[in-house]
Amino acid sequence: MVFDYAVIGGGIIGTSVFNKIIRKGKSCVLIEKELDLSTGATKANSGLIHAGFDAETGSLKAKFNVRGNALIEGLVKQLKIPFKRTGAVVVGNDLEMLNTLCERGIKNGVKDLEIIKDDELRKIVPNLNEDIKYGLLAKSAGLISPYMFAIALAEEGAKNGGVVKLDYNIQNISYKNDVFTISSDIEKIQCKRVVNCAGAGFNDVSKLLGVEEFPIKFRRGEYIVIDKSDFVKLSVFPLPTALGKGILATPTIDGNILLGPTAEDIDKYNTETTSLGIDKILNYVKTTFKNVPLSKNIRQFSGIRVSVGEDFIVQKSKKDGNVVLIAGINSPGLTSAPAIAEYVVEELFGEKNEDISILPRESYFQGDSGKIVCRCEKIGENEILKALNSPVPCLTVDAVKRRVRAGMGRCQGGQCMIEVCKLIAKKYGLKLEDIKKESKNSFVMFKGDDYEN
Amino acid sequence: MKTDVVVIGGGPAGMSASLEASKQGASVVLIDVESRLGGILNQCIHNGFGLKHFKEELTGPEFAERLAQKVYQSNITVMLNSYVNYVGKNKVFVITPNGQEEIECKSIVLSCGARERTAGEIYLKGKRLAGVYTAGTVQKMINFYGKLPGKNAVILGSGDIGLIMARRLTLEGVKVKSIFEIMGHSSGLRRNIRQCVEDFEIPLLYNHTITRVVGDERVEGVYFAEVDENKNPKLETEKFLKCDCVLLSVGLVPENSLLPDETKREKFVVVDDERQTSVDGIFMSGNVLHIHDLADNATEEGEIAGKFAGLYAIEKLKRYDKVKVYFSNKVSYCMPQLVNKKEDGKFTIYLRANDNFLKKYIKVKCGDVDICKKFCIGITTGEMQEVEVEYSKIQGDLFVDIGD
Amino acid sequence: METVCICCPIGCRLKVEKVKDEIVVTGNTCPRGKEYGISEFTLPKRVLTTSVVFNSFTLTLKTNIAIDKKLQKSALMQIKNIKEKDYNIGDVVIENILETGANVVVTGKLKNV
Repeated sequence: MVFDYAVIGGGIIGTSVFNKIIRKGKSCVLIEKELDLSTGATKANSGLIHAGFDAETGSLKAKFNVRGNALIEGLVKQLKIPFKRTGAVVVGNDLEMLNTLCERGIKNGVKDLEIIKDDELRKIVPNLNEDIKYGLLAKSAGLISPYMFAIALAEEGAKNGGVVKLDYNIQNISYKNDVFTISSDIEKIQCKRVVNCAGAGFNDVSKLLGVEEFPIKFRRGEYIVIDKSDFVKLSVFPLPTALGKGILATPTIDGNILLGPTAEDIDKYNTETTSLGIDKILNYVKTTFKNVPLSKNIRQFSGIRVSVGEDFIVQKSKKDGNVVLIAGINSPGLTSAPAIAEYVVEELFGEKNEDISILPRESYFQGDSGKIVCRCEKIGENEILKALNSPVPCLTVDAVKRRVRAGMGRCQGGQCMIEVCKLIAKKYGLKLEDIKKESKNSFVMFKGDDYEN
Repeated sequence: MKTDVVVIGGGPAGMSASLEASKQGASVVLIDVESRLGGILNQCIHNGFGLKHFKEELTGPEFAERLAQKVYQSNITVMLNSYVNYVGKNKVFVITPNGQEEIECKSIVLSCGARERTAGEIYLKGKRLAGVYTAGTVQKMINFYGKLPGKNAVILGSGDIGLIMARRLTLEGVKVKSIFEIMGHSSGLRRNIRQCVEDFEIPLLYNHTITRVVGDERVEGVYFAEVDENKNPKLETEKFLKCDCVLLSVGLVPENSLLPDETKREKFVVVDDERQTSVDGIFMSGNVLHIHDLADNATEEGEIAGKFAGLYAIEKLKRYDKVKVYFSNKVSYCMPQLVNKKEDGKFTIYLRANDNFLKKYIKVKCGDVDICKKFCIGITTGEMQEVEVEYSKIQGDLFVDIGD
Repeated sequence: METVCICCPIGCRLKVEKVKDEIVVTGNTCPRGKEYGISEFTLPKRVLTTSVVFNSFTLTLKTNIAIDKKLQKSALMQIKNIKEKDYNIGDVVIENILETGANVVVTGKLKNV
């Protein structure tokens, strides 16, 4: 068949566009080169739905942020994923700068912004250091699981006729008689229109399409994850700097605390954590907070943010009107995703008809959990099986972890990882030594040598 | 469901607690999340268990089997594959494979063990690669499933599980390239250094740690360095070592998240000599309370907790005034921290030293009087010490010290 | 020679010497330590434990007595070759393995792992 659309890149942008196209009643294939969706920038960020005061007024970032924030509530309801408007607060002593941010927010169309101080500030951030006086409170900010958001969008799309191709390594793209042929070593996919939202791999895809490439830069952000705690109940930002929104302390939608990110320009895509980065976070949190529950630290990770200049790129290719290019999506990309998808599908591709009614996605968490597999997060076998049997293939240990949180807790999978491997192996008829952690060669274990009965 | 005592965790401490509670005449429900009793003993297939408790050298599974048989011969109700979700006032909420169940009870023994410290907790730097596992996870991988974590291993930390795994990996054909220990001494038992490390000529580097784990998708190597007196790596000593897996043996953490928030804690949860916590009717034993070197000790502690939890449930537990156990800076901790002032009999104080000592006495003082003095040839931080004290000698608070 | 006794968790530090024709052990605190010291001096021995994974269950095994420690690896190889059979705890799987006088005994049987 010839699909109406192919979306290349299974991050939050790709899954949002894919979902929107399906909601317009068009056929679509989502192409991802890794073994799971959301394995790039989407899996490693702060998980915030931003209010929208931060971006330069008039920029795409400002426009999509505010619109995206407004669209989120309707989406999460249908997707059956948790979302909470907990609010966010920027804290500092530079009242002038906070006022400037507030005014910018109002210009950008952000509602519910106010400057707070004293008791009011301490009441919402009890663990803030005494010497910090003011805060800009944005009530419309919220929390979401970024990877679960992407996976749920794709699952809903897949349930309603969309096709998700994981582990699809594009070797060649050709164009003939108004049809693109996107070939891997073993397969060919045909479509009429293409969206390139391949994130860090954007230029590789553009090259194959013969369209515009951009100078993409990488910036690494390191984080510390803390086990469930009520240390902060909303996202607390420092005043922004040229490098970004700064190191924040935020709850996650699942109740953990994130400290980070750092911001370090790097030449090569590299998700290492470093002493320098982690020390930077540790030193910063001490200057801003008291009672930081660092003894409950359970993990560190780093995420790579790509950028092409200051603003997002969301445009039709000037060389080929059937190709849309989405590049340089960094913060507030997660919040903006639903708005970017709407703009791409309705404005750039002109699919202006009303969304059709579609089947809702099924949650993994309905009914009995069954035997508990992940003790820290209380995840049962039935829940893992539902994730494994959902419309998007769930092939790896980390894919299970992102979907149901098995292995996300304080023992970090020490107790359940092998159990999860067993369930994946059973589902796909594989051996334990075939199971991967995340990427194609990330085998969890090997078969014992010399003997095998 | 209704019962006198609920015991949470079916390892050595939980099984012995159940047996003792049952002996007092209490009805007992023993709950475990696994599909069989025995807890961590099932994967500890090596020998060296039971010398103290059964006066015979056993492997982990044999030790577990002996206790399990006793449990099944008694009238203890065993609930397997069942996870305790929440502990409330005289109630335990359980998730079973068939749904949720509420158990009403008069006392509770927590014996749900410990978990291993993770890469995240020690801020291990580098990528989140396949091939970095805790030693206990690898123990399960090899002993239950016959799979290997890699072909060339590096072990961080020299806790007993790490040492045992160094031997197991070597015998299974995995090259253990090095063990790094950040401290100047091992936290494992001396005999394990001898039979697991020295026997196989595995390099064990003290005052060293891993600074970075590198690789693309799986572990491809580690950078390691010597540490200074503050345990910070000296970067000028950093070197690369090729390997494809990293095992962590960097300590165990009591898994006591089921305790009510108001439970009194110091370094560990505060219990008395009967192993009752500050919350009436909640008792603890085994690694959930403090980390034991030996399953035998956890078993003994289970017997104490089970006995008194049983007596509590059938309302036969006498109340006494309590004294506190203080200790000097040579001692890392003492267990128990509170003692009932009973008229007769004996109880044992377990303690860990802060440093290594040769030919010293462990002394228990009450006021200015040494009420107990025990000579020890060698005391190490890795090995738990114990001294027996007579209740009748207790006049007031106790003070534990190591000296001449 | 100096060594650490592995017979129990105390880990006594042993000194083993040959005085005339007799092997003398000092530092031990029990008779097992003396025996161990002599054996360590003449022919060091270890109890070997391992597991064998079959399709429907896993067996854990040990040698009932310590064997020459140099033979651990070859004994293990032989144990790995045992065939799936309905074994029970306590069953002897291999008698007198590698002529050491030790029997390989089932210590545990884990179903549905």
